[in-house]
Amino acid sequence: MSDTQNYSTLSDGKSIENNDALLEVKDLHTYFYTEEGVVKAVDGVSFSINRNEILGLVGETGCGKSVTALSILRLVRSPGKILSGEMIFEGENLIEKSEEEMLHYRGNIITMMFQDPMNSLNPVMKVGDQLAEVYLLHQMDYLKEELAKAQQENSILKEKLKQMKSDLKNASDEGAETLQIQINQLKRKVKRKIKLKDIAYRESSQLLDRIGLPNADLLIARYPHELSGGMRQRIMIAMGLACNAKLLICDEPTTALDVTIQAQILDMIRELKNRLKNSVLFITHSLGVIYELCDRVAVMYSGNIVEYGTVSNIFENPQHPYTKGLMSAIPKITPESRKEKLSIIKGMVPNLIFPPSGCRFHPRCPHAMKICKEIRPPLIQMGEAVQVACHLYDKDQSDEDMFRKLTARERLEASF
Amino acid sequence: MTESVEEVFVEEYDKSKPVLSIRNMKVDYPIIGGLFMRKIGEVLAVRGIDFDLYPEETLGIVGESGCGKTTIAKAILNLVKSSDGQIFYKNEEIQNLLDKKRHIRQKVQMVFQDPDASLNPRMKIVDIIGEPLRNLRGIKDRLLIRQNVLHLMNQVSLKAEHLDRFPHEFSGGQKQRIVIARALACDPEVIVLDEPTSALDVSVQAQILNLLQDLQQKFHLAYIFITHDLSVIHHIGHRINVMYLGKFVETGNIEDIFYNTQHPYTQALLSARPAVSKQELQHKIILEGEIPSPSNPPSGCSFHPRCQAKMLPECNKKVPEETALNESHHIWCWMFGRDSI
Repeated sequence: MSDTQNYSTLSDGKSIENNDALLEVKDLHTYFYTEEGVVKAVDGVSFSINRNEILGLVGETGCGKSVTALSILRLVRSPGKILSGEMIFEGENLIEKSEEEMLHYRGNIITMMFQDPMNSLNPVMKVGDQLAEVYLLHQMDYLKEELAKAQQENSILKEKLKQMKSDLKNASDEGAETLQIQINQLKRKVKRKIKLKDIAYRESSQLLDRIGLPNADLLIARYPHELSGGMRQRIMIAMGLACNAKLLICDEPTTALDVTIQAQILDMIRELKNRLKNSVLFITHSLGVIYELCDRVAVMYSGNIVEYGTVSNIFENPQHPYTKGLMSAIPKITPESRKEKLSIIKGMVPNLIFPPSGCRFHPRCPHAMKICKEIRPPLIQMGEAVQVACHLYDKDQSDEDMFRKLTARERLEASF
Repeated sequence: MTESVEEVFVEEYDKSKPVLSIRNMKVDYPIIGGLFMRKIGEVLAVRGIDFDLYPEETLGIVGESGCGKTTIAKAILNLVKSSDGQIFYKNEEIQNLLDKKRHIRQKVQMVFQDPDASLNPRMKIVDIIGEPLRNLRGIKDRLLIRQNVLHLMNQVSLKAEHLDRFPHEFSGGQKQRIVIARALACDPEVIVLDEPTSALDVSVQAQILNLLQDLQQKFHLAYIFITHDLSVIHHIGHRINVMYLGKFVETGNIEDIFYNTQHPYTQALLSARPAVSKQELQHKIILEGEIPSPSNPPSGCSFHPRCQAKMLPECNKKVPEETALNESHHIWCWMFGRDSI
């Protein structure tokens, strides 16, 4: 295997990409046309999500994580625009779909869970209504099936009731008493009419039960503000799961929560994924969450993916200078770590209207070379399961002028 | 003459004397409601805590949201009224009196969690940082204020050209630096930091933590560092108080809390923290349920409904008492309190 392989040859199924991909995103560009200029929020992002895996997307604020997720669902609003790229979901390109066809995908097949549960739940609707709405919008066929079943059962009960009532007229005094009690019991079960909405409610309360919320029957009659943050987040997750979506996109679902509640939610997502066998795209800025939850990870910086591979490889042996910097900026809990200062990444996240030329990280990079300023590094294969976009790992470094370190002055110029 | 100066100096930097002492502090918020908007109950946010803060140390207060961490900070600064207890600043009683004692108000400053919300969007940076100089120090000369502000901005690595900008022109990390510079304006001895880095990215968080450590050494500051992130407090703290539902459950220094964890709640809190390397991976203790409502705390030990340790008959009946495991390590749990009875 040559080291200079780039993404296009990889997706033919050679190394970390296998043919089991559920969603393949190739060279996605999403720009925002604002009054100040064109914000290049996502600039050539490629990755894939396999079936039954959790892919983490990690990066700092403003690196384009959320825009990538919104682009997958084609929810980018004006002035934003998806310029080019391919998003192959089970063999079909989502970019070419019409708006009506996308409606079928959103919610049914790909679901997104947003960061702030308070803003994503409707404050004037009861939780049960909101969950039932999901069923009524997306799971009509299933509901109708269930409705038919329930109606059938109901009619059988009705017949039985009729039968018992006619029996009552002919029965003796002793038999009548027990029969009357039985009839009363049956009457409670029999409903005059079963509506689709009743089924939707029943399903919602069962769903809440399944994800481990206690007293689900009472919960669906409450308003979102009556619930705690963790419960609200769980209801959001329930809404995402209501449709048995094949791909669940979680946009920082645990950022607003305490560590103890976060541990509960992460545990739940992991367990549900194992049970439902769906795929998850997990967006977060916390490297710890990625390490605990994900199978593979893509590190984003300023609209590009800089490192991409399995979690164990990247966390144990980060290659890209940005990933290295990010790792060492986390305070660690070991007796030695207290004595040292935290290492920091100098400078600030670049302005996405005028991103730096070449490698976007080069103004902050301690190893910046001349080539970094001029040519944007492609993702190249490093070892078995990691891809890195960095010129440090170029095979052919014969051009000495290009591969010399930047002088202090050039560095200063680059940071402006 | 020289003697007296030395004396003052010694008194200022006597590290064994606490700069801030809190005794049996209680804070409750009334619940207003009903037909006539009467008080129908109260939220017991802080239920009797004691601690001392020594010069040049960082005292961490750790706990879940809703456990009363921020209320302690607000009560110290007299932003809410405490209902009981005493607060001393170097032997001077300041509970609910900080409004009147300006000379102490200067010495105790606060940095809030959200830098966006703590900067007035219509004021220039020079006015924001200069405001405490004008109001508390009584400096009226504009040029002098500008000079002072410039000096402060240098301390937090902001540049001179930032002086006349407005807050919206800065990134989150820079805004937090501005807030820290404002807190430093009056030469304080105690800074209360209420989750100063939780709104920031990790790389920016590292910058701010390093800055806080530098400032502490340079200006001999004492920090009360409120956070829910244990790795941050492990890095920057000296002593830690773990709090649950308005009370401390375990207090001690870094070694006690992180490497000799005793209280079941602290253990759960430590294990819930997501690991970033193989060495840190450990068995997760996943607490069931959520923090109970402080308006109606559970009987006995307030942690007992979620506690996964062996339940003792006292747990749901009596409030656990303070037990000293060693000189610095104190714990409120019946598992340890039992032997001492």
